Amino acid sequence: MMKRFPIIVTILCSMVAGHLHAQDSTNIDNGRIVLIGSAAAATIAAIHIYQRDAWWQGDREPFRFENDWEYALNIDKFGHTYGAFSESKIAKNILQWAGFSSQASTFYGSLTGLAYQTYVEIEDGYHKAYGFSPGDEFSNIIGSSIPLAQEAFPFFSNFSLKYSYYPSNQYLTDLKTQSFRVFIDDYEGSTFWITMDPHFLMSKELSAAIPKWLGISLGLAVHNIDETGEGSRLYYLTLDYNFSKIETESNFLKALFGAMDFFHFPAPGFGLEDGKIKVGVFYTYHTQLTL
Amino acid sequence: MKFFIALLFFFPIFQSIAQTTELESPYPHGFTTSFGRAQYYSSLTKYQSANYDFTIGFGFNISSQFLVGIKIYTGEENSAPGQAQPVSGKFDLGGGAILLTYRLTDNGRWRPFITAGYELSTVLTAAQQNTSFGSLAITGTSGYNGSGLHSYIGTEYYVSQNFSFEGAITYQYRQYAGLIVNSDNLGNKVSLNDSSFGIELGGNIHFNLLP
Repeated sequence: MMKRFPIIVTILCSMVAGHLHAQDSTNIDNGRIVLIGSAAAATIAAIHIYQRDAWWQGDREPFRFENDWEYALNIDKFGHTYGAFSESKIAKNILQWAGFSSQASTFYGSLTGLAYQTYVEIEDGYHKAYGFSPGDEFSNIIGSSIPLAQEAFPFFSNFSLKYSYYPSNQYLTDLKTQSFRVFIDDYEGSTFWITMDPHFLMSKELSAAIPKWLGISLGLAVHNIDETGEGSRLYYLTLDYNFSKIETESNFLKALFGAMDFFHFPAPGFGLEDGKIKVGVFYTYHTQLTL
Repeated sequence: MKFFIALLFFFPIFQSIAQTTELESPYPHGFTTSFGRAQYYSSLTKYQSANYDFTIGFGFNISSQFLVGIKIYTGEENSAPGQAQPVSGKFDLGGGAILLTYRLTDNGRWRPFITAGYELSTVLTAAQQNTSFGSLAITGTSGYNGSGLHSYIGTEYYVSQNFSFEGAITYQYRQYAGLIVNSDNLGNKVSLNDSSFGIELGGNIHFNLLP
């Protein structure tokens, strides 16, 4: 079956390409398209080599599935959702830069994000230590569907996903003993955030009084996790900064602010761990400042 | 039950999605994301104990009547009470299928459909002891690769051009080839066939975003 997978993917891509024909090509910059294609090919090759060395070394076996819902207190599922979401958004932004319409960029951006994440999951399926995780692929599908939902239903544009990271002590220790340790697997150093721009809920007067770039966010982190699914979850409710809402004429700043909006920066709020509420400034578990 | 409570909880969101656009035809086009839960009965457990799985899918509408895509599922099988053969114990089930759906009509709110696909799946035993799969006694966690046919016959109900509920009868036929991993019986092989019938309820979000 998996030997036929490339054929099936090719057929699917061909069908999508058939619909590409309908894209209005008036605004598409051919030079940028060539640049994007070259950069994408080089990036994919580089990432593949990196992941092969970091994750897929060792024994391979026939393709199989592996349920891992308990793994890392589910925070890896948030990681997959965020990964698919951010890759889809980045691909969308690049395609828009090349002149594609907003709809077309979203369409192909999400397809790109899901295709890449699925390729990684299929590679995992051949590895003795991993297997293809249905839960991970669930999360990939949700993550790459979010930009589609934001494009189709403006209501969802008030929400986004963000990430914050600071190396955990365990990760820093592992780096000294292991030749390859990937930071995106450092779950204790990661926090994933669902952010909301609350202005759509407010009256005109209240909305005008609160800066456009100020939002709120709900964060999830884990601590003391082990292979058996033990550990503790930490929840955060903090302020959030939507940098792309800051008005500027500079294209450089617009691009910078857009990139910064993929990440959550330290912000005041509340934290909940083991039934205890803390007040402070939160970023990741290892960097929080509490009163 | 939790699934239906969740459906009720999310219904206002579905409704808000439904109100954002007017019905136009032909639709849907572009991508569709689906989710659902199936309850089914399997020949491996002598059709006695109910099993379930959760599914999420992502597909592309080739036309308003044809949808091609993938569906990933995860769930659980339990052997019939007191059963020793061909399987006993409790099993995790995971898999994925490539599916082609044909809607009999692209008009109106009710749109009956038929779906057929090719499925890959793995059964993972989760029982601690007294578990067997075919002729093999199992300890710990083991995995068995399977593949087969996956089919649905049912109907969608379109709340709007962007959202539809779905109900279907499912039939699956799998052949487990007996790849064993993480087990004391590593390297041994079994071969089993499994037919299962069930019902599935879920929803579809249609992103009509063709360029």
